[in-house]
Amino acid sequence: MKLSIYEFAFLLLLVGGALGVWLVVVDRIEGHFFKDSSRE
Amino acid sequence: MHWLTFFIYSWIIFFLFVDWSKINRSVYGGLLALWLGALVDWAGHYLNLYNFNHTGFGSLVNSVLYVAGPLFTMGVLFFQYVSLNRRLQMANVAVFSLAYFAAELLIIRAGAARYIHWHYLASLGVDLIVFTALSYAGEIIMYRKAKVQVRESGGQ
Repeated sequence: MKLSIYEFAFLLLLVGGALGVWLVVVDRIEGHFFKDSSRE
Repeated sequence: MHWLTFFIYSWIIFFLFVDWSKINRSVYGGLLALWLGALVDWAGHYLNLYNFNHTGFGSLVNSVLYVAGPLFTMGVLFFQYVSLNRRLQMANVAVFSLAYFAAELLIIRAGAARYIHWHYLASLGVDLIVFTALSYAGEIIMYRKAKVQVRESGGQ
């Protein structure tokens, strides 16, 4: 079954969202963005 | 429209997560991913393994949207998130490879590209190899100075 553009856009949004969640998790582990300024 | 959607989503994720203080080094990840991806896709087309369908804006514009969108932006983000923690970096490679793999499955199922003499698992293999190579280059480019400082301070 061929995906319509809307189905494609929705499913790709889920993939992008999953990648985004992973990047937030890595951020929390590595502290790229959420640095604790009190330690500096 | 599929390639344009892919392009727009990639840049949204890029602007949400990019760390501009590291862009002077992480941009090399984008350029390297762009070059590697373009090389692989040129070979794929030339060897008649798969092709991008000529729908929408035409194959040339579709290729440009692909190279300037997901390849470049995800290359930059991958370099930015390269970790010296081996397990975390393995997970990074796995997650980025699976995300690319999933996006490719959607592209194929939507009819925006077509396999001729190719297979999904071959794509997954190429993704894993490319991201593993990128993580090696990324570690050198992103952490070279930090590693030198650790060595000079006595921490081998």
